[in-house]
Amino acid sequence: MRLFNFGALKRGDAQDQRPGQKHHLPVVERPAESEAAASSGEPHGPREGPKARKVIEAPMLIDAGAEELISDSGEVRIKAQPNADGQACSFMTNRILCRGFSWWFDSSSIGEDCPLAAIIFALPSVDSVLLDGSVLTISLRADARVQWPVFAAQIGALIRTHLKAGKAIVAKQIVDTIPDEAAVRRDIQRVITEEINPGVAAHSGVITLESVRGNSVRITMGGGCQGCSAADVTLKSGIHRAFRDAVPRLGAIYDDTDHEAGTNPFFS
Amino acid sequence: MPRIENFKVAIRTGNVGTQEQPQFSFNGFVCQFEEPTGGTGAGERFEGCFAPRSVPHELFLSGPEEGRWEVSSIDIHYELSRGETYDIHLGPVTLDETNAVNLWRERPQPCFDV
Repeated sequence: MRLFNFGALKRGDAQDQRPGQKHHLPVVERPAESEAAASSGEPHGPREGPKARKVIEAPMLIDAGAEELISDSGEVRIKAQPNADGQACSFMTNRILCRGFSWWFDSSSIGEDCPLAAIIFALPSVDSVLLDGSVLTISLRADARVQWPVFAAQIGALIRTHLKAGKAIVAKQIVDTIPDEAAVRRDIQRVITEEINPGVAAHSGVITLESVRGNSVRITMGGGCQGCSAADVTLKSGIHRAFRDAVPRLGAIYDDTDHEAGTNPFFS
Repeated sequence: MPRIENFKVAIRTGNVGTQEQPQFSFNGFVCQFEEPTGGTGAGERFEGCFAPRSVPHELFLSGPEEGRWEVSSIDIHYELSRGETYDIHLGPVTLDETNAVNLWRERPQPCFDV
């Protein structure tokens, strides 16, 4: 095997991603390898300083099943994909549910913002609903346990009925008042800088706003937050709440942190 | 975390290709693909494989040392321990001497019709 001088790698920006998809962005600082190492096939010590490379993410393309889903423009088709811990499930449809923005609801906004979500909240155990493109993601309350094949079939039937009837997904008055990207970026960055990072700094943590698209944001959790066993609580109870308080029309919040690559978690 | 026994890639190049042989980094070891076929010129398709037989902590396809490489898509076929296999399809990305693209993705969660 021939070895090359690849240089060091560092975490970089995400380019694109499907909703809910986690990034894997490990931070690697690695010395350059010598010519001798290259010819012998064995790694050796550094000869010169490492050349930093930014590790980026390519967009994840739809799998064959979802491709088939999108190509079918006739009947309403829906595929359900529960996440690994069973606390959320994404419903991929062959209809655009919201174009150019994403929308998040909890039970406090039943009825007024999203007619479809209001129907879904009539079911037990639902904590929040996220609409992004053609995907609807339902998160359960923390104490809820469901059999997704059964529960997802119920939800799928509700979505299908709603879409077939041609009813509104998100009320027009809400769509008209969604803030522009610059305002979202400004306000979320302010919250991170003034409220969140001073708090997590006590745990050697840092939150970074990686990108803003429409009213959706992507963040990463670094330092003591990366790989921390309390990261999920920090994210959902602290960061989400602070973001949504600051930007009431905020849509999706995606955490792109590769927590498995954390080297100094505050709680391990 | 699973162990990767073997993986195969098919890289399609867009309008801007590279003359350099594709290389990748697996857990810090920089390697070239084995059994390479095809090319990385504009519009060409490159295929290769590798058998790390290791747990993946990082797997990156590096950009060329000189110039720009417009990759239009990357298909990756993973063969994990215990015979599990799955495919990942990645979309366009532009690589150069400053960056590398992550190739490692865990098996997507299964989905079903509802």
